[in-house]
Amino acid sequence: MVILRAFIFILLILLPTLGTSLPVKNMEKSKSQTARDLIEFSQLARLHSKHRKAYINYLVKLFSEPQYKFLSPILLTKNKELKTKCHPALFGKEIWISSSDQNSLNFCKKNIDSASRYFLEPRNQTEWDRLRMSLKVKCLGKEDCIQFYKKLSRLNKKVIRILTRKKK
Amino acid sequence: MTFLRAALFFLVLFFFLPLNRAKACNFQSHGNSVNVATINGGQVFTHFSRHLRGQGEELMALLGATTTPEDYAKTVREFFDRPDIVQVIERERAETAALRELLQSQAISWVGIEATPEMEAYHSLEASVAEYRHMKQQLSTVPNLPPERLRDILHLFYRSDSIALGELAPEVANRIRTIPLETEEARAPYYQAQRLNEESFDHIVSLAPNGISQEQIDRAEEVYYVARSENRALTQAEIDRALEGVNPSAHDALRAYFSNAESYAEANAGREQVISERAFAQSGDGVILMGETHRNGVQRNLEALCNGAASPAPAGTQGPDET
Repeated sequence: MVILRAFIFILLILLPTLGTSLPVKNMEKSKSQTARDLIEFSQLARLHSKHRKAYINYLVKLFSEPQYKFLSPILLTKNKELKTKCHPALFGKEIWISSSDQNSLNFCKKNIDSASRYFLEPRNQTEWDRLRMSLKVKCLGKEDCIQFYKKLSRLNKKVIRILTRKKK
Repeated sequence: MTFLRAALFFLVLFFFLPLNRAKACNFQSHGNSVNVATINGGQVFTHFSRHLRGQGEELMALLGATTTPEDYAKTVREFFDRPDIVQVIERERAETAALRELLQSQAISWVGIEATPEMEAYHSLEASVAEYRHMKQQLSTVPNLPPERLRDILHLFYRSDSIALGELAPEVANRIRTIPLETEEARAPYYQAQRLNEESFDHIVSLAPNGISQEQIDRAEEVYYVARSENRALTQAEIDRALEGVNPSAHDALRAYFSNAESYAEANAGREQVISERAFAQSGDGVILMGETHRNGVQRNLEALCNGAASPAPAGTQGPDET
């Protein structure tokens, strides 16, 4: 009887996670990612566009904060015209440059829409991964990035909560 | 005498006109990923590359938790010892080497790329090459990262064209013009397909978890993107398999999502027509750099143009376009 109770108890503990949680490998990845990385491309692509846009939008704001200007070399497109002309074909990564221009909110919005679509396409995964790699290399062993990572980590946790919630 | 002169003129015209444009270009293989044809007196090479899929993401996930340069180097070393990664790197290296050899050994004066002049103005191949060089320099500052591993990382994150151009000697790189071979007009249906893709995918996501599970979405995405990469609509058998076990309430949403593959294929056909026509209008030796998806369409169109069977180029697409 005691064994049966113990068995039921264990089962009750495990039940909410059975068939609902991410695979262990992914959970481990997610945990590490919330610390010092952007979310994975596959996670980004799996989000509803409103969440994907929100994530990108937050990054835009984060990168444009003066204290994180030291990260600007990872944003490699420096075309000034980006601030004055909006184009639906813009690749996602360019939005981060335009965001620093507060007068072009519509421009940013269109670009974020575009980025959202851009990062839904598997063929554009390398763009996202390159951004992550650049960030990683730039911040490797650097104290300057700690605050940045803290903010990023909070954002990533929210995204992972959204993705995990969808599974319940 | 006038009649004789006129007859002679038409005779000459008869012999020379076909030689000028409608001559078969005689496409031949020039190594693994390269074909060559003679177009307008110049040698035109085609190079179709595959897109990397997710290997970089795996590495990034592993590096996510690294905080010290030592951890970084160790994680990189272990990752690149994996047989599957070794295989991908070898393929990428071979593809890059073939292209670099081509750019160095031939008198290439232009490379035609999968972009519009407007896109190129914002996100140029040149910028991508500069980015490659910048990343290479950044990685070279990571302690304990051997040059071989540094190269491997770059192969996972950059396309063969960016690396090949980035490794060229400046005098060789400077003689090559980049020519965006697409037009915004021809790309419009593609943008429309992108918008529809996003909307229909959002709809599917909004049905989860009751109407459809994450695993079912993943399965649907996989079959959808396979068809997309092959530039075709999904077969009925593929659709049926993807719908298996899915709550019937989500079937219409999935079918709408799958139908986008056909929209993309149609949009790509239009793009490939313009790409081929603009490439055909170039003069001098050049290389057409495209994703593997466009191999059949672009080669077929070029051959048709060589045989004089193509329709006239849409307005605004004729003549060489330099950037």
